[in-house]
Amino acid sequence: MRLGIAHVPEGHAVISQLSVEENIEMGALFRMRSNKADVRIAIQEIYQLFPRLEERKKQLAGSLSGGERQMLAISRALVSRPSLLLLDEPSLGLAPLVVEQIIQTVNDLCRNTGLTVLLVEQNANTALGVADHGILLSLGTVVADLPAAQMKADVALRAAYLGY
Amino acid sequence: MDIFLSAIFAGTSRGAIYALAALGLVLVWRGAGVVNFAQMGQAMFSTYIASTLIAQNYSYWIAFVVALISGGALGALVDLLVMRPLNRKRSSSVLDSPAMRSTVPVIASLGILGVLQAAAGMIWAAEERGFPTPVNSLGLVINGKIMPFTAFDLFVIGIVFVTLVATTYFFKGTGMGLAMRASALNPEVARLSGIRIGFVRTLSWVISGVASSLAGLLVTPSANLSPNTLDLILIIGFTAAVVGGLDSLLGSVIGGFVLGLLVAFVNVYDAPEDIFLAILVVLLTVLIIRPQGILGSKEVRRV
Amino acid sequence: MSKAHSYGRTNLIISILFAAVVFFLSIKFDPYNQGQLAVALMVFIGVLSIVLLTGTSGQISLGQGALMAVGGFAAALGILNLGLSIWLAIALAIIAALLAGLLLGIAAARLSGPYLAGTTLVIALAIPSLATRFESVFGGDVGLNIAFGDPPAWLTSLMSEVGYEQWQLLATLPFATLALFFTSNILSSRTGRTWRALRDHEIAASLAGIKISETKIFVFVISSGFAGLAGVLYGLRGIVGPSVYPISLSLLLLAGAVLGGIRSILGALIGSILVVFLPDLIEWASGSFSPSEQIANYLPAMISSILLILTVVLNPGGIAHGLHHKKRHH
Repeated sequence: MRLGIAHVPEGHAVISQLSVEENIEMGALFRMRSNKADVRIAIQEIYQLFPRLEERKKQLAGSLSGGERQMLAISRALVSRPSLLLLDEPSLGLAPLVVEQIIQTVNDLCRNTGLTVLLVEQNANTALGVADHGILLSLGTVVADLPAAQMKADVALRAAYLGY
Repeated sequence: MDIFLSAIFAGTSRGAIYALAALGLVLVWRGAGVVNFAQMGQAMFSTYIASTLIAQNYSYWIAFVVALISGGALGALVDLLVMRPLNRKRSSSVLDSPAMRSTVPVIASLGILGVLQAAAGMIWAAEERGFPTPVNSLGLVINGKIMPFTAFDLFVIGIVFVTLVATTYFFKGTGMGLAMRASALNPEVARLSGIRIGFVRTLSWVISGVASSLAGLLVTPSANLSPNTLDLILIIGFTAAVVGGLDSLLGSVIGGFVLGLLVAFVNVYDAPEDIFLAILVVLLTVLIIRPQGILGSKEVRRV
Repeated sequence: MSKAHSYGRTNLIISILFAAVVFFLSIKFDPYNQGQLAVALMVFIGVLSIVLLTGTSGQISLGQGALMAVGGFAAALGILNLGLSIWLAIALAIIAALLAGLLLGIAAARLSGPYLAGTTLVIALAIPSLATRFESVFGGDVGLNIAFGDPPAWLTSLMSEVGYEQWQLLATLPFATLALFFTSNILSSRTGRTWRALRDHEIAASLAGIKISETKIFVFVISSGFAGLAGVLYGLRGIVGPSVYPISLSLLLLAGAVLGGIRSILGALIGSILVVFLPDLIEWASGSFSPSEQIANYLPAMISSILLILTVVLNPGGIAHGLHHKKRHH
């Protein structure tokens, strides 16, 4: 994280016994000493991005819904202002509508701030919907390495690997 | 009535010391996931250092500070030399079972206790020592009547209170405190967030070391110091922490006072030999009726 | 059933071999070492209780010394107040320890890890304090006197002379052998597997129908019986009193178990011999250094504590585990 890479592992990794606020703060701890003001700004921006989290600021993370927890996990990663965000299976266990919401929010963030996101997803449809570039892995080997638009257009590839 | 009062006061001032011991245990439990049975051994060792300094005519306060520093240093040493290597070792089949994984640090801390007691014996022999109090240890005089507690008792209670406030503020209100709580609750996520959990863990050991040294320093003027005298305090401190809730700082302090009062009352109204039995009864009652302790949270009965 | 039978036969052979070797040593050793070996056998029985409780079912107890005290006191009361013979007293001791184990198990079976350790530690301190509390019954700090007595006539006629320590050793031997036999049978049986399941996969075990609490209590009971036996033999050396069964005894047993190998009988044996003979070993090794008395007094404690830490950190399985790299029962 200190190198500017933030990792959001699969399974909405948050600390249930801490509050939403504290979880987010956690992500910024190592920057606190050098840049307190900016951290505060970053946290504000996060709340603008995910207003639901601000509403539930003081609640324990364990009491949030799955989607909210995922938002929280992503927020924690974002508050460190990474240059690269690793998102690992964010859609796991979440309802499609919620997934859409989250992915769109992250997408907007990328467009607005130039953040690079490495998204690992099984849900290819959603992923290709927002990605610039796609790398397709099958059993550990790279099968395709194409700009997303091309991958989407490649019907044969889609049928063989992506199932749609 | 007088006996009752003196029991209350004795209980409160002893309770303050048990509270400190319990606090130390809870600190390491929450910060590092280990119940440190060697804790009062560390306290004993640093108190011996203080005693040596005082015997060589250094002022009480210098000895006090040195003892606290050495307590913290000992804590750090224990973590760095024993606990860290312990946590790294994953390849033995014996450690495959969750039951053994939680047992092994206990055994390690018992070993550390043995080393500390043997070292103290080697360096200072088993001679009992003590040292004077920094404030008056005679009964306070209020309105011309001698009260059954002393300025020193108030001093002890005051220090515990300050410690409790300081540690609570530290944990709830500072970034480092948050880092500690996070590392104890979920080291993986904490690490991902950029927290240096190794450093944080060692810090909890240091703070706990200081707290337990404090307990040792505060109890020694009234009870002589030898390699084994603080063992009783460990037991009572442990029970206090369990009673109050092993994951609650405030709970452990409350537990300490509860047990202090209990011990005092048993001492005065019953027989001193029954103390262990009384402690056992309390411990078992709490574990059966409310295992998470008075203020503990239900989720955390981690194994 | 043949597998069980073959295990049973192997265990029997091993036990007999064990008895034979110790018997042989008993003739060869000088009286001091005979006495030491006797103590080592008593410690061995106590360590076996830890192998069963902690090594096999994963429950830590810092209170085995207190259970030894229960056995010792029960026997002492039996001999002094009821006029029982030594053998009956030993049986009484075991029964008393079994009962104590039942109570202990009921109190402790729901606990684990540090909670269990701390609770058993408090119990270990509370039980000896009972002896001082009820001084008239238990003899207070001074304790009660019991002894192995003189060797029986048939033995002396068989072996010409039988020294005092030798008799202690020979009297302890059959019990140690029995303890070894029972333990090896338990470990290689279905019961042992159930206990190991408790240790390794408690949730899966309960799903498979094993009654967790009952089994845990049962392990406490059985292991307490061993401890009680160790305790009465220990007390028969001369005194039963609080100073005979201090908290350091519980820690000694635990150290012996961990150092030797907490999961195996061989480990128990190695560990027991190690902790009992360690002071002698150190004295012999430091002979050329002649350390001050102050240091010498604490050297055994220091060395065994350091060994304990090293074992737990570097080789948690103990010496026996290090010797046997391939897993057998464990």
